[in-house]
Amino acid sequence: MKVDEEKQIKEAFEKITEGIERSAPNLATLSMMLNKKKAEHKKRLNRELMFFMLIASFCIIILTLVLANAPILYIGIQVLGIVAVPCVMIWKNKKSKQGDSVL
Amino acid sequence: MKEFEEHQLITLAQQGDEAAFTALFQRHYSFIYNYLIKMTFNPMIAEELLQETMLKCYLQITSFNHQSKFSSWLITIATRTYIDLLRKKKRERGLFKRAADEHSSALKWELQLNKVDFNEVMEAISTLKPLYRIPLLLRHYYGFTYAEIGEILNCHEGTVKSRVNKSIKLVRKEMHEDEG
Repeated sequence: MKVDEEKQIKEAFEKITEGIERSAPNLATLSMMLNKKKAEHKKRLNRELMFFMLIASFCIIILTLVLANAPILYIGIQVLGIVAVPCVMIWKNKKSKQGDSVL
Repeated sequence: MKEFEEHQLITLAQQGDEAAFTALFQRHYSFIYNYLIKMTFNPMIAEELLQETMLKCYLQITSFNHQSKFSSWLITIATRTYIDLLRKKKRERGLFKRAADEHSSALKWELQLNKVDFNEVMEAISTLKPLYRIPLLLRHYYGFTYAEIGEILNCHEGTVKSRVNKSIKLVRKEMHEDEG
């Protein structure tokens, strides 16, 4: 029983191989494909590096400000709070309106 | 002769010869595409994975140590790339699943175009989760040992064995459901 099923499974996979005809592209196309992927990879790495540097410098700045007890840090937090409250309210309002329209 | 040529191409590619690498990949292109199609049942994902696999092979070619066949090494890279893709798309699973469903019908269409019937066994295999389909494919089509599959999937031999058995049970169940 199990052997039969295993045979059927193998045959099914074989049929897929038979039914899919994909010949290899020529060397120039493959080389172009590789170069495109390499460029994408490099771009992705650069983006990740930039993001890492941005986060790292942000952490360093915050830490320095905390250690120096700089007033700019506290003023900054207050300004952020003042800006964030209306933003959150607007966002919540929009969300509830969207919910109403869906219902 | 062919093996000697392949060995030479690998060595050249490991030394940074891009032309040798493309020639090497061209030789295995159809093989790896066929593997990806059977693993994903989705021509769109197979195409995407093929390009990712090519890039990973290019970047990691120096780590190939000639202890296994080059094609087995390619299968390992392609499988791990697919697993990574599934993890990455876990958050957008709904969307990914919908796209997968749409494109598995693209596979049916492609097979029918080449006069191959998408039979009930294929249908049953296509419903399996990749977790079960991959070990089943590697064991019963490519003939890898449980230990080798464990190495490819980074899991224990016992786990592979139980997944293969479960996948057969699931295929059987799906086939009987279709009959009933």
